[in-house]
Amino acid sequence: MSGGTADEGVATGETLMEVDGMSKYFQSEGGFLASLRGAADVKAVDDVTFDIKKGETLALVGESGCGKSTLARTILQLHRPTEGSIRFKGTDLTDLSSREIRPLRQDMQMVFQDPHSSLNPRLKVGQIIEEPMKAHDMYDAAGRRERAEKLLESVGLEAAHYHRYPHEFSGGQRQRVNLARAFSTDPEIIMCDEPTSALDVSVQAQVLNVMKRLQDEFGVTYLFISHDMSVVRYVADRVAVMYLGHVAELAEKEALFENPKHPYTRALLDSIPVPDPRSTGERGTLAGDVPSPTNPPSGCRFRTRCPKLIQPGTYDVTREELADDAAGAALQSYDLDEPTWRNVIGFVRAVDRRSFTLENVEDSPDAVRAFLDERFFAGSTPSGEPADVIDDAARLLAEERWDEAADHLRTTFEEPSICAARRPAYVLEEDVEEERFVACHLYRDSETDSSH
Amino acid sequence: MSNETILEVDGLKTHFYTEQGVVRAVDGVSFDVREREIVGIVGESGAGKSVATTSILRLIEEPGQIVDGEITYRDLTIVGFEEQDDGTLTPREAMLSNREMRDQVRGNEIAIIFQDPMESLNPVYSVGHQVTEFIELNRELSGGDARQEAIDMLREVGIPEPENRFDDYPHEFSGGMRQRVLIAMALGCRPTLIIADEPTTALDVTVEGQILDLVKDLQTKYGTSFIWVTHDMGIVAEICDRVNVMYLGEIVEQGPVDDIFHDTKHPYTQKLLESIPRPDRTVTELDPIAGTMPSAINPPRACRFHTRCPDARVACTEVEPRFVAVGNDADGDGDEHEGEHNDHRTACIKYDDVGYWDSVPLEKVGDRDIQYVGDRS
Amino acid sequence: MTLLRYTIRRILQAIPVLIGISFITFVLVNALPGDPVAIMLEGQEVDQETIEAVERRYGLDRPFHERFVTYMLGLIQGDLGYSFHRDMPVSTLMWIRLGPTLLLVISAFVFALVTAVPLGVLAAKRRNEPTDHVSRIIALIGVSTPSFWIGIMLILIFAVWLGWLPSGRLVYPWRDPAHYGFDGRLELYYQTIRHLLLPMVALGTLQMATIMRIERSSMVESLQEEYVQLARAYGVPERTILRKHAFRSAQLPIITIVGLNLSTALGGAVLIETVFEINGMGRLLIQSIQQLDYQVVMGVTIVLATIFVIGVIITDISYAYVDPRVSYGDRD
Repeated sequence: MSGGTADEGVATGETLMEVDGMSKYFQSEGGFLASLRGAADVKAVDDVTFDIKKGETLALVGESGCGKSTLARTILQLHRPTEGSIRFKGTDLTDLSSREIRPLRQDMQMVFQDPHSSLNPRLKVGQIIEEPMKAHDMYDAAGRRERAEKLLESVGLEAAHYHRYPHEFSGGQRQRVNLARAFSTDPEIIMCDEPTSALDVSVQAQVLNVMKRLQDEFGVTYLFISHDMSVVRYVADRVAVMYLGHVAELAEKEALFENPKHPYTRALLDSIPVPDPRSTGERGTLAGDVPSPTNPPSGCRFRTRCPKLIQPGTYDVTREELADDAAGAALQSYDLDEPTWRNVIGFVRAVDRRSFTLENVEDSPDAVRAFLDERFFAGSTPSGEPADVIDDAARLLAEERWDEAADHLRTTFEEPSICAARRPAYVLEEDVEEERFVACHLYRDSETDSSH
Repeated sequence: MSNETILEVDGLKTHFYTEQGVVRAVDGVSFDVREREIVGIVGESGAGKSVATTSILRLIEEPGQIVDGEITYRDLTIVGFEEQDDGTLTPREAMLSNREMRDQVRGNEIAIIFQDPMESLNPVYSVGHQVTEFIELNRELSGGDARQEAIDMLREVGIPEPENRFDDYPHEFSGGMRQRVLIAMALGCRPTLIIADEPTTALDVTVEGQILDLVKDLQTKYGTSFIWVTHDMGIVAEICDRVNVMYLGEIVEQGPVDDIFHDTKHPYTQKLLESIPRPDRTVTELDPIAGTMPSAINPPRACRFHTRCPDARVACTEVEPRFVAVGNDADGDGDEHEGEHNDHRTACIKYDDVGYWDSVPLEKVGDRDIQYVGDRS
Repeated sequence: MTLLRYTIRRILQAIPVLIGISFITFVLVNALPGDPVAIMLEGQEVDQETIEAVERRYGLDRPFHERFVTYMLGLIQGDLGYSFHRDMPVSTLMWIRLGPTLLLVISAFVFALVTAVPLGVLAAKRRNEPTDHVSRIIALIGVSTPSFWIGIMLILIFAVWLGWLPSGRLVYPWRDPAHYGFDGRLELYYQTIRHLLLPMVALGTLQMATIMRIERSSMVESLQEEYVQLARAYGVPERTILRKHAFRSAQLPIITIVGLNLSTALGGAVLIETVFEINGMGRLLIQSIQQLDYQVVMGVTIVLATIFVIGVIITDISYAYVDPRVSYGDRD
């Protein structure tokens, strides 16, 4: 059941859209000169590649600032991408002018989050549903009317509601009107940006069920954006987890939830409180804050918070890949065992975030070192070169030179890691037909490497 | 394990006199809070949760009014009425004046944290200034001492370098950090009870996790009780000791958290749990509650949930449900045990002895013709 | 970016604006019908040669663009030209006339603020009560009544009928008391105020009414903010809520409005000076337009425009200074 454009009907399961190397940058303030340098750009989406298959529900999940909304809107050409291409049924949308894209919008519709501001309060609901059809010259007036009434029924309202105004409906009912409007042009793909986040729990379920039913009936593809993993688990076929403009992981739903590979996915899933007081798993907590999108970390953007940061020296990294001061600070050998390495990184981050105080500790480097040993290294303390660096840091901390200590530690222990040097991107071939994408160097040795 | 009761709410009614009619936002709510516990109030929007908690601090403003009920905090009467000869209710002598509320209760005994950390902080004063001000107001500290206490509290809630960030403005903090500031503000006043009104709703889930951990730690350390208002059952399961489920101005079920989840009695609670998607397993089909929550201006007669309840019978439109104790089956093994702490109550006539089982089931679930208060069928 | 850099940046941005204003004024003034030379030589029998000599003297025979450039060059050096009619340099004229106008405008402004802010806060606090309604009526009257009418009425009532206050002219506090025949500074200041009262009220009423309404609505909004509710929840007394928690953030729109109102105030000054016979720049402007005294018109316009631009810059800077959320342009 394809929509209004060309006859290259895509079969269910085949690729409908290909996003290739797409980036979207926004300019933030910073004055004329800074913007020329591109220094102040907000890199909302950075070099993202994936496919969308016909008939599926692909969920984009992530927390605020991860870029999921921007990604979806750029795909649907609400923004023009800064770089990269988006192929829709074979045609590259970035090659087209705004005028040429317009007729294609029949096939690309959207539903937004806020049920109140998305409906024109001056129009009747029936007229609202007809608008897209009118815009694309579909049917005649009678035909549009008939279709609008049928759609009202499809979404669980009544044909007679055609004459009512938006304010006469509840939030959940308004979202149904939004859906009816989106389906009016029989589109190929509908982007839903947090369609149920503003709704009450019980209403949410109603709307999600309507969405599922409509998908079965019309065979549409959903690009579903949400921050709510529970909702995603209910509606999605495949899930793409985003973090700070990158796709961290893309996998089939069950695979992702049952066996998350990327540490961020795992942390995200672990953070969610489960509605069961007997659930035994300890809820994990991810420390720290999301870095600024104008100055994101190099390599893997999650590396500043990742509990599984890879020790430098584990993988070969060329000098060019490292930042200058990282290259200079890298030790000859690290060779720390896992527990010690975790302690070291915990310490490095604690200094960076200043999450502890030395108020009650004597000013001498020895006293500081002893305090640090007890607090961060109990059980496994490093020796050799790494120990020297930590001694240096202790000395700096004793002199209240926190910034220098943080820099020193970071450039020695974090920056030379492969996680900081190179952006990870790996496609794993699992035993299921679906490929699985993980942007994490932990999977470096598993099958295909499609890093660029 | 029984702790002393510190707050008791009995039959609270708060109505709003609007042009469209009287909104019976809270219409007879009773619950209590004990020392060192976290009591949840869960419900959807329109249930009256925020109005209930605002009433506890007597912060209801025109056109709203507390019209009935008792609220007692320790030995202070926050709300108390006595009936006159002509049937009207007037505030009792013992009921605290607004001035007394200000001096004795607000802040120093009961503090509150609102939902949106962005809106809760004054943008034109520094964060440190605001925390210090409230500490000074509610404790016997002033000047430099209050300032130091503020810094200490900021550190306590995990704000790095609090001395340096003291003079920063709210917009220079992230959402999670701001919420921590609000927690510091509350805790700094050393209240016995903190009302947290959906404090993590506006935050990302990883940040929410951090805040929940923080609150649990602080609660253990300071022994503060909490009233935690939320619509998220996951948070309820994780953090609450006892729970009150609210629907359209009334509490329909209350009890220990395990009972609420694993020995659910009220159909609304049941349907609520069935209609939420879960992160820990794939739900094949969500079973939503039919219909929408009616208006609180003319609520349905007798049991307010009868318009949407799958188990509704004619008796439900005639008999006003009252709280009934429901079973000592805390561990869900099907046996009632002696001495099991029976705190579990529900307002559903299924468990009462008023003729539910002899009555005829109501037709058609979902937005039934609403039986209005005052109508006869 | 620091406040200083921001200030400098704004000042530099103001220069093209001023140049533009000068140009437009120049064009407009030159488009005025009438011949300044004819007016100057009115009543005198002259021959063509004399006319041409006068034209040459004032550079009126030069083409347009040359005259403009000459003028701009002079401007930069502080030479605003020469008044045909009064036979003195424009800059001297400006200097004499600036004082009265500034005195009038600033006192009107102070009057407006001092009355409007407390009234507005009170109206917000006593929302929908009689006090609020009264203030609303006062504001309505203030906004709809022309300032010159108010001025004339004030003169009639207080000067003519009651005889309490003088009907016109100002006493300048920077002058020597002997100049007026007063004994000592004290009487000088007393008389300054007496003379200032009526014109100040006449000019300031419109501003007062506007500020009062904005103050009220801004305070009402501020009082409903969540952080104010929170302060109440922490037991902050109501007067502190009003004075401290709600007040400061409510002033931001006032600052903007006040800055923008400056142009209205300057315009109003023209009328009030005429009504009260005050020899300020406003009156000068009217007179010189009637006299087609080009250079004076240009001079007054540019000075008034500069005052206005400075006012806007000060507004911007105050706003950035008071609201910690406003960035100065650079990310940090």
